[in-house]
Amino acid sequence: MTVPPEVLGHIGTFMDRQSLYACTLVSQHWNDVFAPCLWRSIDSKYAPWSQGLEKVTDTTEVHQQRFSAMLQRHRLHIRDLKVKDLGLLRAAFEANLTELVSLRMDSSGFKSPIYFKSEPNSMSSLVPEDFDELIPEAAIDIGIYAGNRGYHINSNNSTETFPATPQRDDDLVHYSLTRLVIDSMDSVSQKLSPSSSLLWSRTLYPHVTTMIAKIKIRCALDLGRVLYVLPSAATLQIQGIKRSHQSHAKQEEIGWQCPVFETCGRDHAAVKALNISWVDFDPSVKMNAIYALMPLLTRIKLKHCYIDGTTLTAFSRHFKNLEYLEFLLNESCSKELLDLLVGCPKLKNCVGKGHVVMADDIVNSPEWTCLDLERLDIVVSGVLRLTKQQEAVLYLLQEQRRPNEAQATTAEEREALDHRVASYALHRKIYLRLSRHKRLRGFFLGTWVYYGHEKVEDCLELTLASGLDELVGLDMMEFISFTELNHRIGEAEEIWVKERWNLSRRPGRG
Amino acid sequence: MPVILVSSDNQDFKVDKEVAERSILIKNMLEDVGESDSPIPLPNVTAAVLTKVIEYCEHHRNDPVQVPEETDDPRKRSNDIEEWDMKFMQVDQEMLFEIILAANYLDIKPLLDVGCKTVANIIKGKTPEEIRKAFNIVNDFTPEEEAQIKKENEWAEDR
Repeated sequence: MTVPPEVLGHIGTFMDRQSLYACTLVSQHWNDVFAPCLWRSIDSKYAPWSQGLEKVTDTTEVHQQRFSAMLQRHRLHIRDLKVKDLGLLRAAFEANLTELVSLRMDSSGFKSPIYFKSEPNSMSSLVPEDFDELIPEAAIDIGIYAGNRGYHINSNNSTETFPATPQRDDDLVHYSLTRLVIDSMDSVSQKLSPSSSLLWSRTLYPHVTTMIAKIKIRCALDLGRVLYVLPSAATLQIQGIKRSHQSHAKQEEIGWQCPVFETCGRDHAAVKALNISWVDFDPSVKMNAIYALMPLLTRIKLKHCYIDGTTLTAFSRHFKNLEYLEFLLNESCSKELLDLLVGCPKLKNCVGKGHVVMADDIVNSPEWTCLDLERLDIVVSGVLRLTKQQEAVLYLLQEQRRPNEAQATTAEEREALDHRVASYALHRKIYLRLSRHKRLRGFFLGTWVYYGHEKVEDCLELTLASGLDELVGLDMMEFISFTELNHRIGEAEEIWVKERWNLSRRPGRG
Repeated sequence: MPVILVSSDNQDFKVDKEVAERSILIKNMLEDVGESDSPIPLPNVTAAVLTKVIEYCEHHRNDPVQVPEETDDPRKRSNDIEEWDMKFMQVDQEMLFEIILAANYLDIKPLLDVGCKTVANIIKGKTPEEIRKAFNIVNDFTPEEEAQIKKENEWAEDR
């Protein structure tokens, strides 16, 4: 039986490297099929000289040359390359890997400083002017290096240099790369920001659609320039460092500033999704400038990022195409948040924590235009809940089977009843608002305000009496998140919910 | 409505349309032809193999359509075979490859994947010589060629 090469190759995609290696030694035919699988994804970590597996009789240079030759020979197979070594980075560029799809640069192996001349502790010794004409990707390392090891300069002041002129005319354009990942990118000043290192080069990556940058410390990301070199980037992902709860204040200051942009990126911006995590927004961030750069932006995911009211307002003013927005709040921005529902007609998901909204603001806000809304995370506050005493009074009334106002005898009873009528009227208005959004799939109606970890006492009551039944038309409902005690869900509500939406109840946390 | 499939050795198989449509090849054929009850000839698949393939499709008739997931790792795992599939694949080697080829021809991606994973698992941990023995392959390398490939590829293998 003859197995066609494409089927053998498909078997190869399920094999580990040892198996692939063994397969290349089986026969000529198998070698032809499995060698490309083996060489498809290469991590420089496994280069022999970095593991000390080869005899140390050869110098690093000899190893690198050998490696470089191998890269050249397999240049048509390599699609995914991870380098942690400067020599390798250089070898990779020299090999002109035309099929390369993903290039990852891990800073941990970039040991010796490059492009540094004497004068320790001085960034001015950097010579960015020269970068253009060198193999430009190497410039990325500067940002990485400088942050990682401070201002350390090699004792012998050695500088590594790259070929002074590009080998080929097209060296400055990387046609095949579609995904650029830069691990632990550090920088210390604007001048050495990750972007500036990318940008000092004139290299264009016309087909990169995803750029992921992990930022270690405070730095400015010059988005305008990033977009200039990555004209097709549709997803930009920027990650800061996780905050830990205990040492919140002590943590290295992480910030993300957007300098006022030049117009250079405007014509190129194809960015549709901006994912930023663990980076707090500076109030000075000019969101409208970001909008000018990225008119197609529809998804903004600010995971673990706090923003302020001004930024929120900028979203509702400028980002008319927004479909997905995620953010954290640590201050009350009730009106600004509601403006979002009014100002972004295409909004489908409003996700995050600390989204406290005042009941009165909801009732008084103009029509919400986002009729396709699918998920809304809000903590409704200020709904005139009854006091404990009033509830006790009403409970007694109920017990004595005198539930109507006419039968209320004391002033106290009457007042409690009035209060309940007013409260439920307000509730109902809010439910009516929500019920207009027929595509709603879920709510997160938390009771916790995330700033200061306070609880909102006067949050929405999820009871039929208060108007929960207004939501009856929301056929697509998949989940409602609430807090057991505070939202007062009772048996009747539970049955009602189950009948309509077939939701199973998972115990919530306080 | 049932569909009639005809194996290369002229045996008829009556299967539910839903089951037959696990094969993208047949699905497309049916779409092209429209409502028709003429039998579908499968000249590349014998009755013995088609019986197995139909058994698989019957068992997986209600599976959701596979969505290719994007992962960072281009290499896929071979140790995630379901128990039923594992038993199903316990056949002699010739049948195993027949099934893989049929799945490839009929375009039944999940079956092709399970078959390929099974082969990958057979190969796993074997030396080149053991692989040759297992699959009846003749070593056509000269010692020099073999040494050359060894030298070149050994570092690309994880350790």
